[in-house]
Amino acid sequence: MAHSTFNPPVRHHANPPGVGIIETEGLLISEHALRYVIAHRQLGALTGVAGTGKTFALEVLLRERSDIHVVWLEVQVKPTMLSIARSLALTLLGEIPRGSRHELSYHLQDALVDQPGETPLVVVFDEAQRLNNECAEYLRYLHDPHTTSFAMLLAGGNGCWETIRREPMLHSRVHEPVFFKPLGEQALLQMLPNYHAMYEQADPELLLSIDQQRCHGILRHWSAFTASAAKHLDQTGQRTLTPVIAGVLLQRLV
Amino acid sequence: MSDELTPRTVLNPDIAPQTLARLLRRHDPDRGVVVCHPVPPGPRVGQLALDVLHALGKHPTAPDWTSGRETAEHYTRIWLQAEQISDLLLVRADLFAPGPLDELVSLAREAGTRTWLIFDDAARQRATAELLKACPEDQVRLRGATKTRRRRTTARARPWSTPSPWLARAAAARAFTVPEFNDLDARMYAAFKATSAYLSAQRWLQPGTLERVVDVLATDALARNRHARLLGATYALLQHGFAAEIHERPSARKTIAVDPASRQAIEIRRHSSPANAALHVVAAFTDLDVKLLETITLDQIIHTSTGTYLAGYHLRGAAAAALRAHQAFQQSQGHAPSEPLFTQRQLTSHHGPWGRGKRAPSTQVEVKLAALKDSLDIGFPKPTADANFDAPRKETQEDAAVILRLLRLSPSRAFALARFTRPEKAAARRLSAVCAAKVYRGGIAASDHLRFSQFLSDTAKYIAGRTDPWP
Repeated sequence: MAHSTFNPPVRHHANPPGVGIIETEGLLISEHALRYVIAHRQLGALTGVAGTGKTFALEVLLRERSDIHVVWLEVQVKPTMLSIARSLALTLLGEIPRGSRHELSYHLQDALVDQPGETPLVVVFDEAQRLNNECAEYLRYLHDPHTTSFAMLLAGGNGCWETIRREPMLHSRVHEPVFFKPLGEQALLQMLPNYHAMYEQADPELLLSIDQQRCHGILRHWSAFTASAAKHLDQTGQRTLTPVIAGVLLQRLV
Repeated sequence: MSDELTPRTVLNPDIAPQTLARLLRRHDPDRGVVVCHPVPPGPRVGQLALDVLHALGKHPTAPDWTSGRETAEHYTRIWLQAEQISDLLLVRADLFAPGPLDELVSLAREAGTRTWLIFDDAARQRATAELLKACPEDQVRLRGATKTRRRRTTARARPWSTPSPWLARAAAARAFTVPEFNDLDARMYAAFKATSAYLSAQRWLQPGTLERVVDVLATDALARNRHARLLGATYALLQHGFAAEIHERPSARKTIAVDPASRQAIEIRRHSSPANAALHVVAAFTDLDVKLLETITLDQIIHTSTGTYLAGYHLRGAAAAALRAHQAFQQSQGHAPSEPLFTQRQLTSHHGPWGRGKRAPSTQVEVKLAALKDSLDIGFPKPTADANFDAPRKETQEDAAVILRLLRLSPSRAFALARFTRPEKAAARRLSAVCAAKVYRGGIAASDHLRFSQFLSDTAKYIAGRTDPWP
């Protein structure tokens, strides 16, 4: 199966300039879990509160890996088995074969066979909290047969783990689920200086105060805040976040 | 209901992937076990027959794939039977309502297959077992490869003791009951028609080719039927102006075993349509081409304990199943066993290439041929016989010449014996001794036995009016 390397752009929320990738606990655990899930063609799950970096972690860990073939699907709102089958077929086969859902499913089962000498296939379902019972059954149908051998990753925000737990057939198959949590105070103070230069000399008390008032340990909020702060600092010619700038931004962003 | 075919239910309570994987690994159509992993049904009912067809190896990319419910069910029944599937395992049975499961169980039962329904949910298992009168089991116990197989008849050829090869029908009339005799007639007629059609299409006859044709069209499980077919071929040759002697070679036939490799079996099993699967097998593994196939009738597929025999090839596994399925399907469509193996439409739809089988089986018959002065009817074209044909015995040629002359007479007329030469008179004596000719007041005429032109028209009417199947 000819395929191109998975290579999405690095997507920090709000796209702040000059930010780096910080190795959160979630990212490190995900790396370990993914290694196992891909090697053993298992089912993995990355869940947690929205904005804690699940999708980001997956993209970072799977990007530019020539040793795997990544198929990335975002589960649409109110999905059906047919919609899942069609989007998987389109991404995997490059076209949607004609026929009923049954026929499409038979095509998919063939396409998902692990061929010797081919790179392992990794199918990612992002926004997996949108999966309903029927779709969960369908994913099990695709992943269960011994002939189809690929790694499947479910990533989703609020309610994703509840969705997986509600479907015992999925729940019992998930290997080492990774739960992304908001960063704690200590982790935050350790990581923010690596995230952006403006936090290197910033007062830790100030950072904790921002987190308490605005970001709550959620990286997406920190990313949005950083984007606004960077713009402000650029206008004023400063390099380090000060209480004054933080105050202005917090007032504006609330 | 047979106890053997009573559906079984098994609970897979831990819904562990390993358990399911273990079950799925038991899928082995060659050993009579099919594991069906169905597509989860949607809001409408699922298509279990389609799922079973897919489990049997049929694929939507094959041009003969069908998604029609009734056709799928019909094909499923035929393929389950043809593949001699003893056990059908349906995993995730809890996804389906009792109605579709009942339909599947009935369908499998008709094909002689036992159904195992694997449930994840204990309550669903209990309820369905009660409704379907199924037998709960703690684990799957397969019958394995204990398939119901028909034994091939091993009767050896016993040629009838007749003084002339042309008159076996007269002798047979005394030896067989009416139904047996009618069966022989029908086969004789089928061989006659096939040979005549073949001869009409030829401009040149070569010994090797003709022997292969006669060998193929004479294939039969029963020795007496095979003999009848050879006689039909002999009659046709006579009508086209040839005195023929057909002998069975004393050496045992060397059949060619066809056992498709797993990849070839997958290719065969991709076809849903039994006709396409059978054509795929014939084109890929045998030397048979359209001309030869036109001479074969449906009843010439012979089932053996280890496979299927067709025109010198012993087909096994998926190849045998394809022919079994085709035969069953054609019969289900109302085709009589005496009809050609493939219809013209089926042959036309398959574009070949034919005869990809590298080896041709050795022929069991030897054909000796001599051209007579004329054919029975100027309407029959007479191909030119190759000089390499051995000539039949002198008596055979003399008999044939007289028969041809007698048959060209109207039934009420007779030849004056005085006009015969000495060898012709000797032939006339031989024919009248076996009631093939009538000698009366210095004249000789064909008897009813010999008038096989009459026999042929009777046979055609007889076959058309038959309602009971051949044995």
